[in-house]
Formats: sequence, C-alpha cells, structure tokens
Amino acid sequence: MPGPQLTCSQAALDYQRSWTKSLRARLTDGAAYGFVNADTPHEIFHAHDIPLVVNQWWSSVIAAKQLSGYYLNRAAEMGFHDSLAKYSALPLIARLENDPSMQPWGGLPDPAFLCARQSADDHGQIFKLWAEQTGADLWLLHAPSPPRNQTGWWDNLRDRWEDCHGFARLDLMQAQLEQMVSRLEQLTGRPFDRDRFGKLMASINEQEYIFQDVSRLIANAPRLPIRISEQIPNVMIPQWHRGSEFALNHARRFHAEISRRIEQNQAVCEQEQIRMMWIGAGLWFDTDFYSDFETEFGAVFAWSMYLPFAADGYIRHYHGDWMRTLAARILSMNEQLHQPPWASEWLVKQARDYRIDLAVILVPENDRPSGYGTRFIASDLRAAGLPVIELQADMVDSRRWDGKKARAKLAKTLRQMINQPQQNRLTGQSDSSLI
Amino acid sequence: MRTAIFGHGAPLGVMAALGITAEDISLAAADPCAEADQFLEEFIDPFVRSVLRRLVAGQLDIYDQIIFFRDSPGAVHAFHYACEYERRGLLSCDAPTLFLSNLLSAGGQPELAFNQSECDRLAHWIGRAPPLAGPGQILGRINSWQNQGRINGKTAWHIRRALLENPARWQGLFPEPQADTGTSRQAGKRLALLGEPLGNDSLHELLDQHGCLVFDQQAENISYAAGGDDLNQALSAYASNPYAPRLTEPIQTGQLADDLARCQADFIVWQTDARDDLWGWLAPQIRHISDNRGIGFIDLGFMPRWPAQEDLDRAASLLANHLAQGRKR
Repeated sequence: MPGPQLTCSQAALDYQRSWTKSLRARLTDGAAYGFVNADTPHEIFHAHDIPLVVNQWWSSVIAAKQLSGYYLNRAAEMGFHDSLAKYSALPLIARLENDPSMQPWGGLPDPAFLCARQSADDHGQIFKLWAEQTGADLWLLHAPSPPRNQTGWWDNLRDRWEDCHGFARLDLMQAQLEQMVSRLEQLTGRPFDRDRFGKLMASINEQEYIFQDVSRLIANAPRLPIRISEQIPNVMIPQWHRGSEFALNHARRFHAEISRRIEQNQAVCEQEQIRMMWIGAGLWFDTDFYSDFETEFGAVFAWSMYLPFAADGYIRHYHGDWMRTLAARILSMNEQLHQPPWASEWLVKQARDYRIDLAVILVPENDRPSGYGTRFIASDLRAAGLPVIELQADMVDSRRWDGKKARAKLAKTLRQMINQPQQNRLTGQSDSSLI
Repeated sequence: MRTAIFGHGAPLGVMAALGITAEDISLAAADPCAEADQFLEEFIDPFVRSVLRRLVAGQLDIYDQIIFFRDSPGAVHAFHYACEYERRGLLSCDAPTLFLSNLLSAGGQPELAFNQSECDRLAHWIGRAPPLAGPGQILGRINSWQNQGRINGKTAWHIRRALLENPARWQGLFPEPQADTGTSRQAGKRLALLGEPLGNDSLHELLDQHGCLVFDQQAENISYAAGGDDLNQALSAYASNPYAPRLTEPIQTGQLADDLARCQADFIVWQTDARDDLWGWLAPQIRHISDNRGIGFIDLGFMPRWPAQEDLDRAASLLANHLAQGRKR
C-alpha cells in the first residue's frame, strides 16, 4: 500500500475548507458574487477579486450531502421532466425550491451575475431561468463550433492557437471577454487591473507545466503511486484557484511529494496487474468505486482527465495580448474533452502514455455534453487495442446508480483479462491508422 | 448545385440574400441503419438520428452539400457526427459535402461582425450569386392566417413545409398560398401548440379535430428566423428572433405570453420528445403563464416526433378530458 495520503493532499483540502469558509463569510456579509459554469473565464473574475461559486462544484457539494435525490424528485414535481440535465441543473432546482434550510451552508444568497458559455443547448436555458428567478445579470458567452476538426490539438493549440482557432471565433470570444470586463468594472466600481491579470495568466501557464511534469511522472512510474481519488483534489483545488500563489505553490509541493513517492517505490497496489482509465467526470457519490478492484484483481485506476488536461487544455502561450490568450484557452474546451476525433485521439494517446489496459467510460444520459460522442470514443479506443467498459450513470444522480451491478460488470472483464494476460496492453507506439 | 439544410429555425432570409436556395431536410423520418446506429447514443435527438441515418444510408447523396445550423438544437452534433462517419469511411463517395454555419441569433456589435464573417465563409464555400426573394413574408402571412383561424393547423403545416422543402416556391414559381375566406373560420376552442418541433402533421390534424389550432410556437420560430429582404435586414431578423433557443436574453416566455394573449388562446397544448434536453426547461414557466392568464394547460407529456396511432389515441383522450372540463377565459 502507498502508506498514508500525501501531506499536500490534506493541505489542499484544508485550503479549500478555509477558502470555502471565507467565501461563505463574504457572501453572508453581502458581497456581490458570480455564479458561473466551469468552462467560463474564471481568470477574469479572479484577477478582479470577485467571489465565484461554480455551478458544477456547487452541484457536487449538493450531491455529496446526499441531497440530489431529494432535489431531483422535487424537480419532477415542479414540472421538469426526467430527461433534462442533472449535473448542471441541481443548483437551479435548489434555488427554485427556495428552502435555504435544506441546502448546504443554509443556501446561497442570489448572485449579482450569472455566467455560462452556451457550449450545450441547455446551458443557456438553465441560466436564463435562473436570471428570471433572481434578477441577476446574465452573461452568456457564445460557443460557435470549429467548422473543421483538428488532429494533435494538445500540441498545436499551445502555441499556434491563432492559426488553429481562426480569427473570427477568437475575435468574438475576445470581444465578449472585454464586455465582461466592462460589466465587472460597472458592477464593482473598480478598474480592471490588466497587469495583475497578465501576471495571473503567466502563473497559470507555469502551474500547468508543473502539472504536466507530475502527469508524466505518474505515467512513467513502474507502478501507480497515487489513486485518482487523491490526484483529483490535488489538481482540481489548485485549478479552481489557478494562477494564485497557493495554486502555484501547491503544484510544486504535489510534484515534490509524488517524485519522492516514486523514488521510494511506493505504489497504490503492490501486485499491480491491470491499469485502468476513468473517462468522464468523477463518480462523486461513490468514489470508493475507484479503489475497489485493487485487492482482488490488482487493478488500479491510473488515469482520470483532470491531471493531464490541466496541461493540455490550459497551457496557451502569450503572443502579446493576454485577453486573446484567454479566449484561445476557452474556445475549444468542450471539443477537446468530448468531441471525436479531438477527444478520442487525445484519449488514445493518454492511454498509451499511461500504459493503460482497460478503459471505463461514464456515459451520462442526461448530461449531454459529457455523453455525446462516447460510442465514437469507445470505438477508437477499441481500435487501439484497448478493452472498453461503458457505464450508464449520472455524476450526481445516485437514484439510478447500481453500484453492485457496475462492480460486477467491471469485475467480469477484469477476470477475463487476468486469464488472458498481457494481450491488450498498449505499448506507447503510435499508430497513425487509428486517427 | 442542390443544397440541403438541417436545423429548425434556419436563417433562410440570410441565405436568400446570399443567393442560396436550399431544401430543408430537418423533419424527414428514417428507417434504422445499423452502420449509423452503432455510434448513436440512446439520448440522441430524433431529428439528428434521422438525418444521420439517411446520410449513412446514401439517401442524401442527391444533394451536393448540406448546411447544418449551429444555433438549432442538436444540429452541431449532427454535423460533427456526420464528419465522424465521413472520417471512418462510412459515407459513399457521392455523399454531400458538409458545412457548419455558426450564425448567431444575437445582434450586438461583436456578433454582427462575426455573423458577417460567417456569411462570407458561407458565400465563399457555396459560390456567390445574386440575391433572391426569401420566404419570410409568406411564412409570416401563413402564421397570421393561422392566428386568425383562417386556416387550420394541418393546412398551415403543409403550406409551411412545402415552402421550406421546395425553395422554388419562395421565388414565386408556384401560386401563392391562399387563406380560407372569412366564412370558413375554424370553430372550437382556440389551441396553442407549444414545445418541441414535430416531424409530421398528425398531431396538428388531431388538434384540428378538437378545436382551432391558432398558434404554433415552432412556426413562429421559423418565420422570425427566415425574415428580412436584404442581407442587413435578414441578419437583423435572425438576431432578434424572440423564439431562438440560444438567445442570450430571457425574453422567450414573455413573448409567448404576449402572443398567446394576442391569439386569444383558450388552451396550451404542451409536448416534448422523451429525449428532449432543451424545451422541457420552459415547462414550469409555461404553466405559470397558463395560471396567470387563465389559459388552460394540457400536458401531453412525451410524444414521439413522428407519433404512432397509439400516441395519438392517448393524446386524443387527454385532449377530450381537458376540453370537456373547459376553462373560462
């Protein structure tokens, strides 16, 4: 066993707890804050020191408090049918329910503004409904889609983002970001500090390069040194605060502790036999799932998107205008994570880098942005020689999650793989015919 | 060159101003197609599923090109899935080329500049041509006749589809449709059909049998989006469509309330597909309008886009029950 958790893991959780407490105090004191989606330009809000609550984070807090079933049942009673999104909508339902005593923290005050990118058809509707309920300013960003798919984005978009994205989409996003800055200045009565913003953006690139090194360390270690359930807070807590002094220091500390653990040959599973990748958002209400196959099968979840995407999805080099650089970061996040061939090509490469033996894909039927393209992705992974298990489940709706059945399904495949050892292990060699 | 378009509420005025005529293929049903279906998740929008099945089956090879409109629900996924089929070699060598138009239903300065560049991209791709007459005015007139009860729901649906699916009709190559005379106004309770677009006229016909279908939310969306007589007007009409699903301001339900009052609707008839991820967000607000304005609300629940007889029988029963109970305006 790898021994106790990294000390930085507890430090990350402690920081988040303390930050959460201070955020709650600021909101209670009446501070204007923004309620925003995860794929919006948090960098602008951080640079302007305006408090944020992230929709998907708040949704996972509600789910972690075991309240999702209650609110989703209430949503049906309110007249929302059951095919609608859950992950992105749980906080809206809690707001519509309007019983703060039920909610974590005793509920949130109404935000000063709401911000979403219309990367999915329903995000605009959810946020418009919220705006109508609360009277909050609504800032919706457009999401024109790339007219042509691109290969090798994780390399090309770091530096050649102007060529890859095209001027028109970048111009539009940059103009919308500038509009947001103006609205923030009006809201707060303070000028936007562009020097501070530039320093933050530069720090973010530095932070993500450290995460890139950590990802490579973990991928190349003989055995997995840290479970993904411990990786995620070490990555995502700094990502929520990206570019801050805490985030940069934490990334360095995480790097040092992982390096030490690998040098000391510590592993999650002494008899590691099978390395798995988890494709999709976290299974927030059943995170034990990730470690339940170690003892019996020597099977570890070695990969989740959060760590490698910190580098590939965020590093964008400066070409004279940080606002345009930020536009380049936001513009294709959805395609990179969910749309084939962008997503499938990246996942095949990641599987090779991490020497993955088996992919498990979460297919959320009601959260479409995460569900689209999963069959194409599974097909490309299989074509690369990787067995794939697809699990139908929602990230926050525990009502339909049959953990026993899902475990049995995965165990059956693991048993078959152990009986046919080493047939499917990827070698890291490229196979251009796949993409 | 034969061009098809996919997407509800396409900017037909913009296209006409660019000299482009195109046949709307959004509503056609399709049989299962194993090669396509292997990649289609269960939750895929039925219209998206249908166009992809037809594309892979070679039924759209009669077209030189298909334009997908990003602002239409699901259309961006239809485009990207189509590109994936192409990449995997599942489309025939005669398959149409695929084009994604990102025209935005928004009218600020950055959006205007972006839309202009999208028009240039479309015109460059398809070839520049002299402007044509668009269908916006005729579509508006059909809606007006329907609002007044001068044509029934099924007739309005057919005239509309004939225009959208055969652009020669925009150009005055066929006689203009005519409304019924004032003496044949439709009778019965005035019904408003709200929710998701339907793939055929069967529900409209059923509603005609139970009352007078005076308002069709999706017809309004189509008409607004298709407006404008030149490029500037057409871009402006597309940007100001109050029924555009991706509008950045929350004005759709306010517009609906006004339009329902204008049409003196007695009952709202609400329906979506079981795989809907968009229109259902409006349902409680529509109910609220119903309560506040004294308009009856008939919830048909989930209705397939091409309803089967059993779906229509269930809907008929619900309609009969609600209408028998009645509701005073």
